Amino acid sequence: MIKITNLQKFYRTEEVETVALNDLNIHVQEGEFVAVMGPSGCGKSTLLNIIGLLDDLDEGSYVFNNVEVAKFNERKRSDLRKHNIGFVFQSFNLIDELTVFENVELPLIYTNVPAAERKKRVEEVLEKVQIMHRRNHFPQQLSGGQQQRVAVARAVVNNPKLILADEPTGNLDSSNGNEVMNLLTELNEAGTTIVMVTHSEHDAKFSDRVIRMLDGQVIMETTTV
Amino acid sequence: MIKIFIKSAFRNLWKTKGYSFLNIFGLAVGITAAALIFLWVEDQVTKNDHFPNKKDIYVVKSKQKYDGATYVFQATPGPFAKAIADDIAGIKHAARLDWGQNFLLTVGDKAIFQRGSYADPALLDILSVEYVQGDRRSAFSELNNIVLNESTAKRFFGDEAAVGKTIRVNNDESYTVSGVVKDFPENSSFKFDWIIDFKKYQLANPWLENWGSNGLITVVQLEPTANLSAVNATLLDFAKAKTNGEVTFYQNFLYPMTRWNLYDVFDSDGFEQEGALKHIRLFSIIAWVVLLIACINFMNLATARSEKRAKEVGMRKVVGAKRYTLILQFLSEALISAAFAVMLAVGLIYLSIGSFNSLLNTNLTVDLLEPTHLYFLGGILLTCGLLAGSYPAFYLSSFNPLKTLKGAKQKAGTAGFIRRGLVVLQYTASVLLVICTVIIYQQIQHTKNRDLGFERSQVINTSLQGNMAKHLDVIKDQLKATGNIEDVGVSDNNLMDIGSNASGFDWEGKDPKSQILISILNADDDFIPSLSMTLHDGRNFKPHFTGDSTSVIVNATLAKMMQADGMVTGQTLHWNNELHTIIGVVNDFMFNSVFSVNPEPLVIFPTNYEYGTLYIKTKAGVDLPETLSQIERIIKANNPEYPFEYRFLDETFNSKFTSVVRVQNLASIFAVLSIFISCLGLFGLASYSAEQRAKEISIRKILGASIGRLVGMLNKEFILLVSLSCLIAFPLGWWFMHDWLGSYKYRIDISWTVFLLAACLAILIAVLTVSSHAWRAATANPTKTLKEQ
Repeated sequence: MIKITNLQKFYRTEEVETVALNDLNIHVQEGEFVAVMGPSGCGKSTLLNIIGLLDDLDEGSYVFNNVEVAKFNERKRSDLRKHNIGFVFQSFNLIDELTVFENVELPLIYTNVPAAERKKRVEEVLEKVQIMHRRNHFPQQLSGGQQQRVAVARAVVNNPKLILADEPTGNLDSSNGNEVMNLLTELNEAGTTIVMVTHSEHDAKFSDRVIRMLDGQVIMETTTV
Repeated sequence: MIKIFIKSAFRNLWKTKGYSFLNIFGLAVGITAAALIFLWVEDQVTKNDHFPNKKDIYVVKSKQKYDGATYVFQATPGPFAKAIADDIAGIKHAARLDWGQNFLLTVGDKAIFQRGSYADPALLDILSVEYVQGDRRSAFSELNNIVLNESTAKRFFGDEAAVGKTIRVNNDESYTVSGVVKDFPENSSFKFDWIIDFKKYQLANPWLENWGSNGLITVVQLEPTANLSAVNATLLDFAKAKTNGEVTFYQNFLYPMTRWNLYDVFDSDGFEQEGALKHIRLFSIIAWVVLLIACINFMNLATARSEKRAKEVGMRKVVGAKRYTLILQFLSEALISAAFAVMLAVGLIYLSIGSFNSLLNTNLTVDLLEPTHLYFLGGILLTCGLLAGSYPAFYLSSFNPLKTLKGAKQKAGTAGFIRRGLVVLQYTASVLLVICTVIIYQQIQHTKNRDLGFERSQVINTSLQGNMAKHLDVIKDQLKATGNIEDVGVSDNNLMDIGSNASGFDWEGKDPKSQILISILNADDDFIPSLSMTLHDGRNFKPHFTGDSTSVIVNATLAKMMQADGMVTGQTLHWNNELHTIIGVVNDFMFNSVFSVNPEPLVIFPTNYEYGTLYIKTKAGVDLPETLSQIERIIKANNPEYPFEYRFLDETFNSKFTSVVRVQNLASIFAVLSIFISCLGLFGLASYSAEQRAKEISIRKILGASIGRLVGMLNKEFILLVSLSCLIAFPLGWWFMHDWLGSYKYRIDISWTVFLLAACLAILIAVLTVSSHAWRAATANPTKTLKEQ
């Protein structure tokens, strides 16, 4: 599903150029659950952003679903993103001014799903993450675990082929963290490919494969099963 | 400490150069606009202040009733001044003067037209003129003396003494310069290049002995202790008393110099109305509003920037800054910005005052050392600095350091409400001014394009003067012989300015009780064809008035007063114990006021005067410069002593719009400025909003929102605000302009398209302003934004 070859990414300021990702190669199969680990600043979030088409790559090739997407313009990327990729962030990134229902509904609005269909699908997914009873609450009225469940619901409401999770349990206690990890595992078992960046060895155990990075390069890959 | 404040203030201004510039520039523009208007207001309200006796000086007004309406004129008869000075206690001086004349003054080979008056010597005492050469005693010792003002004396005699020198007046008589007086300042109601003793005028105009002929201005100075109401009570029927009840058609009263410039408009009941004061007040209010908006804008942009400085405030608090030191820091930043704005404004005022003067036809000057100007600028600096600085100062310094360091957003609360309210206020003012400007423009165009009843294009006006009347037939023939001239007509008054009128006309079937004021014009047989006027009935005068010495032509308005169908040819008018036969009715043409629906009633007499106006109608498509030089050659050949001066009738017509065009110009300047400043306000608010919503925008973008959709989302809020402004401005605009148009009888109907246009313009400008921010926010890298948040 994802085939990244010889990826280079630099960050430039007026005076210095920092190499964020250096000659990186990654291959993710459809249906896989991959964890990316490494110390802070090693480039794992940058990699995730590039996979999610939120950031450009400077050199190299990125093939998504057999299509070369490295040179896609903003409109094409946005199009590909909203139909194929769901995101889960460490800090949930829910919109404070919208209710739980409205937050989850957003991706469907942007893919022009009709209102009745949207209602049905949002309710289904809220049931699935067991937050239906809080559908009219605002994010600040929920616990961290509940907010992350809403974020997961939002990520999957469009039935994406790929979910990108950036430290999804980083702001949660262990029991809430486990709940979220179980949710991701269920999704993976139902066929969704997941790439997750994490610091937690415990969370990494939920994945099929762990990619370890250092200074912008992959230094080791291990299979967990 | 102060040094640190100033240093960090400068650094902060420099760090955000773009914002600082917008902020300072916006305030400077506001100050400039307000300052220019206040200079104009100052000029208007201080008019005539240089006359030491200002509060004791009056002009005599005359009230006359015709057909139920009261007219107030500023005209008095010849014997009036002396009689009131002799008879009424409390009158220190009373002086007569004429309405001003353009005389050709000649010294050697230098011949220049200069404007002056015949006046009683007492006028110079009333106005406290200062003699530079000669003195009050000798100035009018001889009848053929002439007093010059300093610049006229300089024009003819340079630095030499002028007193004792001889000047030819109108190539006719020689006068001796008997005094040179200081020029009056620009904003004076009296301006003379020369003054000749009124006695000289009286000798040539015996009608001045008549109590029934009102043709002069009478200026009065009261004793400081005089009782004005007692004087006015005597004046009311003074003429009636002096003529033993013979002259009763006017009553008089004194009108103070302090009100000449601001009021001097009277309604049809003879009550005083606000004149220029109306405009002065309106524009003062607008100037204050612009200044206030600019000032609050300044504050608005500063609070919008506060998000970026929240961390700095937190950090300063953590390292021990007291709240008052933070307040002082922000206030000093605002004061420094305001000082920059004032300095920039001073530069802008100097740069723009020239164009402002030519736009308003004024001669305003800025004198920075003038205490009022200094206080004004200093006052603005402190007010704007403190007012604009106080809100961010108290708002920013109240931030909780722990929260700001953690990056939590401070809730906008009332600040947000105020900011939105301000945008609504600004746009309301802008939309209102756009509506006013467009409607004033439409009204002017509507009137300019109306059918005037005569052809005003390609008509050249020149004065009939010197020997021209004697050679008029020759001049006409020679002009026509050029092949470029169609007709040459003559009338005593220019038809755009017919100053004479009279009552006492009688005709068969007229209600004996009704008194009708009728305008009078003396014209020749070519007058009607030269202006392409048409006849409703009857015929024009015959060449050289053969058999027409007692004939008259009336206009359709008068004809219809006499008989409904206006076919009055053959009927007679009785006036001044003479009978006049109506030989023709000319279709109505507009004279004097171009804003009336119909002209006043008018009688045209067949008279050749020695002076008057020539209407030279050129043929279509002629080479104008060539034709003008032919005209000049012919006229100069027949009247060599006089310079040839001309004006197009079009220009005379357009000068009727001077004051309304001035209002239009001021309104459009303020409309543009108001839009500009409103855009700054909106720009600030949009930047604030984009910052506030950066996280939301990023999330939406990640979830698939297109850039267009995000830009639309950010715009929506502002379009709503601007729409609200339109809703407030529409009724206000309608009300103002309905009231304004009410003062014109010939006027447009207010069209809804004006409101639509103003709304579209306001929304378009708002969208353009907001979209630059919205675009930047929508195209920013969302992951970067989320990381920063």
